[in-house]
Amino acid sequence: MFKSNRQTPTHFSDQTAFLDQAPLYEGKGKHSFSWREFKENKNLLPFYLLSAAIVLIIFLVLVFIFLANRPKQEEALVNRAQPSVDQGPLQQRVYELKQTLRDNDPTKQALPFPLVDLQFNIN
Amino acid sequence: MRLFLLGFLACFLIYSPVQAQDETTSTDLLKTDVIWQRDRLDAEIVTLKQSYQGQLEEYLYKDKLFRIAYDQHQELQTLVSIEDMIKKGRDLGLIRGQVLITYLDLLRLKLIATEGIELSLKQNYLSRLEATIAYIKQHQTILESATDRDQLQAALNTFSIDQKALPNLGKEVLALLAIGNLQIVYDKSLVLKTDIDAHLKDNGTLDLPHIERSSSETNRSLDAAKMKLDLIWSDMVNSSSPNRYLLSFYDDLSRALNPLYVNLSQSISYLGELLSI
Repeated sequence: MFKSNRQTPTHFSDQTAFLDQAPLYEGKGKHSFSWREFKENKNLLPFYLLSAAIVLIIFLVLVFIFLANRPKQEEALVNRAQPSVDQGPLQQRVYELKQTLRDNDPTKQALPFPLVDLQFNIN
Repeated sequence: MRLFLLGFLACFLIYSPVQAQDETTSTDLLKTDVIWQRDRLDAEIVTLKQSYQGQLEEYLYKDKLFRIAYDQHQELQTLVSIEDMIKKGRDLGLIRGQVLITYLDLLRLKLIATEGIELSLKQNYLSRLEATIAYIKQHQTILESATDRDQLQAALNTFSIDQKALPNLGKEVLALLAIGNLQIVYDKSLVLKTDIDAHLKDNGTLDLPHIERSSSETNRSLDAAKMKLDLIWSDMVNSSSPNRYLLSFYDDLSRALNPLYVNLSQSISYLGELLSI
């Protein structure tokens, strides 16, 4: 019995460690992440989490780029709505007339009477 | 005799092109003058609008200060609080006058700049605006010289009574401007229609059946707009009191002018289409 006990951990030099702790120390270094034998890796959760984080960051960057470009697209649409010089002076006059009419929309009052108190007194 | 005739002919030939040139130059000068005046008016309106906004903000601030001073006087009833209230009241009266002067001046300039308004009405309202501005300026002088409570109180009371109907004047002018602006749009549309017809004629497409039909449809739309405008002007001029007519018109402005606005919008769209057919 004494003999068998002496033989077991040949590579495990720390004699103060308990026997049930031995496999934990043994596993260290042997089971590092391997791309070649991907499915053989025991704990894949951190890898998945990291991958998900990277995908999320890429997605957010794409969304940010899309939102940053959006006003430019609207601007381009507005510019497209305005007649170009090529369309001729008559078309330009039609456009200006439309603009003048829009500026004089009777539903919008640009200069209402000021809200000042005409009746105030010091009594 | 022959020499005399030759001399006369030579004089005529030399003088007449110069005269024609003078006429062209004077017409050009007149046009330039009108454009220059128009630009100056627009610039003046922009400047006045800016100072009007600033004055309105100052008025609101001074109104707040006066309300606080008034409440404090009601609560404390001390000589200091009376003095403070009088000072704040005078300040408020002065800035109120300034706001009103600037506002009425803005309306005056806009009225001058709006060409589509019936001349007698325009002149009438310009006179009323100028008279009111002069009244408020005089009131400002009285306020500035008012040294005690009674004088200030009397000045403020007189103003309240005399200018009770001031908002109505503003509303009447605004209604007149709204109609006048749509009249301008109609007038410009009519000129543009004539120019488009000339352009199509030059291209040789005016007589094409589908263009002829579109042109007639555009004319019909413009005629309908003219009828609506004429009706508004005639109702106004023929009413027993144009002032009252304009006041009630302002209270119902969007409903009263919407059919005309839609009509003009349609006419302008037709003009655009006519060019792209």
